[in-house]
Amino acid sequence: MKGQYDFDAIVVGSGMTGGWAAKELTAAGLKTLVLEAGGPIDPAKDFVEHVQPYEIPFRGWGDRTPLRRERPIQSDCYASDELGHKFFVNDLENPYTHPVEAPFSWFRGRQVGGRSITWGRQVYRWSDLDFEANAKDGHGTDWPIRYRDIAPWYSHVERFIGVSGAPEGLAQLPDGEFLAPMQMTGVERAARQRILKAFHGERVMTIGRVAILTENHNGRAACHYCGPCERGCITRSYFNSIGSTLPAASATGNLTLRPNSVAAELIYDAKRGRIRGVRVIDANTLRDTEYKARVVFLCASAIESVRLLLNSKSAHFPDGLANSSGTLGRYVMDHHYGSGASGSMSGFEDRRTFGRRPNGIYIARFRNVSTQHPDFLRGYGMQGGSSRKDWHRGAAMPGYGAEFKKSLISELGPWSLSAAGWGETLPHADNRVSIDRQVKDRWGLPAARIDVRWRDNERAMQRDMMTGMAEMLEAAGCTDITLAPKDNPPGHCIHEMGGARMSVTQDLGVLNAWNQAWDVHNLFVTDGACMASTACQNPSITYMALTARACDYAVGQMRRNEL
Amino acid sequence: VPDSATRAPTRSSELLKMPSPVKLDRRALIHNIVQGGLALSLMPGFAEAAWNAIAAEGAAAPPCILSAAQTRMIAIIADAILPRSDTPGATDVGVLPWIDLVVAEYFSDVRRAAFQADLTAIDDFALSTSGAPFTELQGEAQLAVIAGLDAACGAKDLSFAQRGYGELKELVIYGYFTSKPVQQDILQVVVVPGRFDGNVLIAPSSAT
Repeated sequence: MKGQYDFDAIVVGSGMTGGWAAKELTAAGLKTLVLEAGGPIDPAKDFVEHVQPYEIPFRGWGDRTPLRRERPIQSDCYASDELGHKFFVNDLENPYTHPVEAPFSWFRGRQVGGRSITWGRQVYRWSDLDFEANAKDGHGTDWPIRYRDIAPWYSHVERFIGVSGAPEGLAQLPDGEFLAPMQMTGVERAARQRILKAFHGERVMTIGRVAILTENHNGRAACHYCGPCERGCITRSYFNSIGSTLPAASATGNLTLRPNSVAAELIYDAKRGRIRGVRVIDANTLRDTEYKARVVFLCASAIESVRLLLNSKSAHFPDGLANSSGTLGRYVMDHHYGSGASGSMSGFEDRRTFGRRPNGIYIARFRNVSTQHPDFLRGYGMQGGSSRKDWHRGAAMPGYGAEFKKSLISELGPWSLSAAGWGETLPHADNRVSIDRQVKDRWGLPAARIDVRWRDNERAMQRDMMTGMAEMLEAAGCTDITLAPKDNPPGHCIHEMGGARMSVTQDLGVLNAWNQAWDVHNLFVTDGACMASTACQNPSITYMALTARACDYAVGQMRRNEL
Repeated sequence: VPDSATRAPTRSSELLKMPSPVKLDRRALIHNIVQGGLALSLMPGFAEAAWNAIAAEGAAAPPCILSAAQTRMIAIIADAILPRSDTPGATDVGVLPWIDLVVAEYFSDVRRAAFQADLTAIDDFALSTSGAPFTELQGEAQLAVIAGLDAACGAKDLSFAQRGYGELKELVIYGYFTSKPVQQDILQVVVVPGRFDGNVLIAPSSAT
């Protein structure tokens, strides 16, 4: 490390991608500072997955008085419940704005580990169907990479984090390096076969591919199937940065982790054409400090990273750092999700499950793979599962008295099978994040203003999610099929993407093929902000793979003194 | 019971009849209810245990939001839905104080007002079908009212009384089955299963 720098590298954010940047950069010998806006986490104390409902006052429903007061937005997320709300921000301290007619749900986690503590853990590789989509139909800008560029990095990530799943040989959903898959239920296995037959192999229901260990792996224990992963995992059986990448980074001796450090501004050195360092506000004392480094990785989550870039204005970049293209903050996306269908399945009344599988089934994208749907572009995958209702069914059925109670205790309801779609969103320039100068957070930093809306293509796809699933349920032999429309606002899927997209040329985006800012070469953005499209797969493994790939590139450049 | 199911205010006439939230000392409430003859209702043997459970929470318990009459109605209905048999009944495992807590602090103001108005509607229903408010009826007559309301569970287009009963039933069932005695001793929930089996054969005697 040269004397003019405090560190070789600064990573902003300690979650999904920040942990990966820390691991890769420290492994390469770089003295690395990780800045985390939130506080530290002690898994022994803070992880609460084994707390039972009777141990908390509202039995899991949540203490709504403080939740309404402090987390009116965050408490709309399923994981921000009576126990899990600690992993979500205080909305009063972290405001954002949106047009009244365009609601946006921004669920945020500020703590060491970020949202990797509460994520859904579903991991699916993208294919060239996804990387070529923008170029083929003209929406958004072409990705500067293809599947072959990222495939080795998917493997790199999968080998480290551990992904259980079943290979299917599908071109649109490439197989990964899987640990043993979790079991499907008897109902799911039967449905899979019937759907395969009815749709001639075009629609494939497989077990979810999930970053949860089905066997001991890299010093972490196999899953014990207690259920609520979103509350943490004391055995580190699902991947999060606090249990995997950050410990690996720490073991190198090259990591400095600084919690309660709010990145306020990236300081641009116009003479040298590069970032000099990061201005940091101590979250508790509010004192300013500047840290200098040769390279900076933004891994703060898509909207936070864009907000930081927009707030880092200078004479050279009056509209936000690295924004010569004018695309910074634009083409913001999320998956639209939730519409689907459910049905009942008979023939399995003598079967039940044991254990709480923290995973479901996945139906690979089947629309617009080999033929073009008349109503919409791109496609959707579906996620769901089967179950039998236990005592929970009692409230919705007639009955009372001793026999009723006995039936709720000792009997199970019919099997149900359901799934909902996760759909690709088209990139639009007008779906954007800007800065609301009138609103500031607790640390005095201007808030994000988010204007993202679903449009006709998303709405048409949502309708087809119900139709497509109902067709499969019928083919599976289900009865009592019910369509389930959902109208979740943008952001609700917690897959925010775009705002600092990768592009083929400098005039079309913020980042090049290596997640490196076109305008500022010692700046890399590797969280969801970099995405030029959304595909329909859950995006985290793509973020992680892109991060590892970008780190490898940055280290190479640094070794060649090109940075 | 997701709070997103928050309902619009009910008929204004019902809201006018709705008792104002009264903050009572729990012990005083228990005393009043027991003295008021609850022990003569459907659940005489269970009442004492239920009230003792409430009293055991002591002064640290949150203030009651439900009136004495509402609490009495809920207790009777709760033990009619899930009575004591070879397993504990609803009030045996503390369902009453839990419902009180939920109504007081989990429900939004709008939802609480609607719920309390719907309890009043149950009384109105009892009056119209059986000739007296619910808690003034005797055991069999109370059961007849419950039967009349329960038949609509799961249906749409509910009356206010049916809606109130349905929500109460959901609270009773959730409170009962998430209680410690039921989770541990009756359901014998395994906190750490250690494995997942998706296709377990159920013993023929317990198959449904």
